[in-house]
Amino acid sequence: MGDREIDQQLVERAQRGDKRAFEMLVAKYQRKLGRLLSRFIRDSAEVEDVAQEAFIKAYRALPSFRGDSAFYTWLYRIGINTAKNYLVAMGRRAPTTTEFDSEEAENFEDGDQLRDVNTPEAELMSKQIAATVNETMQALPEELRTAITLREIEGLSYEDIATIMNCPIGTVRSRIFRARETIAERLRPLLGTSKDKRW
Amino acid sequence: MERISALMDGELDDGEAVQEFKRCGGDATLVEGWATYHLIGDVLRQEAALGTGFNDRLREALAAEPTVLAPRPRNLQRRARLFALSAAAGIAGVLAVGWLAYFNHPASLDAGAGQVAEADSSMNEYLVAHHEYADSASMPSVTPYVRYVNEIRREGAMSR
Repeated sequence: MGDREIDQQLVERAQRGDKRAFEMLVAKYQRKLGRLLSRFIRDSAEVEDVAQEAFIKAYRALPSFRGDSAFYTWLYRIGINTAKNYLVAMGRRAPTTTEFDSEEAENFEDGDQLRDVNTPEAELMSKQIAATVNETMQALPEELRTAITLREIEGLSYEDIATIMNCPIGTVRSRIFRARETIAERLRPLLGTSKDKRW
Repeated sequence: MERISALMDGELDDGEAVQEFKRCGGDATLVEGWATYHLIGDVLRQEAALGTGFNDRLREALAAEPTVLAPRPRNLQRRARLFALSAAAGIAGVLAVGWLAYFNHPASLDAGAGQVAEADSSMNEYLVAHHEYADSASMPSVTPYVRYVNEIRREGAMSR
């Protein structure tokens, strides 16, 4: 099941009243949406407010989502409109449609390095998380580190990774899972300090 | 949890994925794992995170929202099955009507009579003579002769 089908499944479950399915979509897209919004809105607290409003609007509009476009294209369009309305309400210049249309949103990849959209204390937390992830990555056995790098950074399929690493697909699946679980284990105390405050 | 990892990579088949989504509906730890794995991926790709407390606030806001219940899209499979059944019934009806029409058609009756006449062709001359002299209540015409004459001619052609 591909990425778009996964989103469609989650949307359909949310449309049937499963709020947890919508939370899974939020977990998946909140950082991308935040990054997108931070192009128009510099203040981190405002970015969060607008992101939250966009997600709530998307949730309310779920019954009208028919799957004609990908979920994230639809979500980003809502995000941009929410940002425009917010900026207009604040008496600031809103982005024009040519500055950022939905097609661009679909392929949106910010070339910038990590851009903090956090308050100072949240920024500290963000740095701790990044440091933990990176340190754990460096400590991983090479085959686990290679597998998760090829998947998460290069975006390769299990089949392609299996070819590159010359091993069965099942081994790739296991290595990626073990890498993620090792990092997640190190992150849990950090995330647990403010349980579920950050996905 | 390994299947959650494969699910987010789009590496489960449709059946497994649906099962996994069902499990997520009843198990918060799976959803937490899904969220943490996505966080790890985003950090590795150097994507900025939203601030502490974002999820708590969003969850509270979502909890305050009335649950959305969209009308379920019509089941395409069921519609396809119904269409196939009605199409099959239509075709069966056409075939039945065609079959009946074919076997009740005068031409097919003639064909059947032809077979009988062929089996009993030695009686043809007798039957012609009988029809010629037999008393008939209806108006005499050539029609009664047609079949027999026809059969005699066809037999003659075959014997040649």
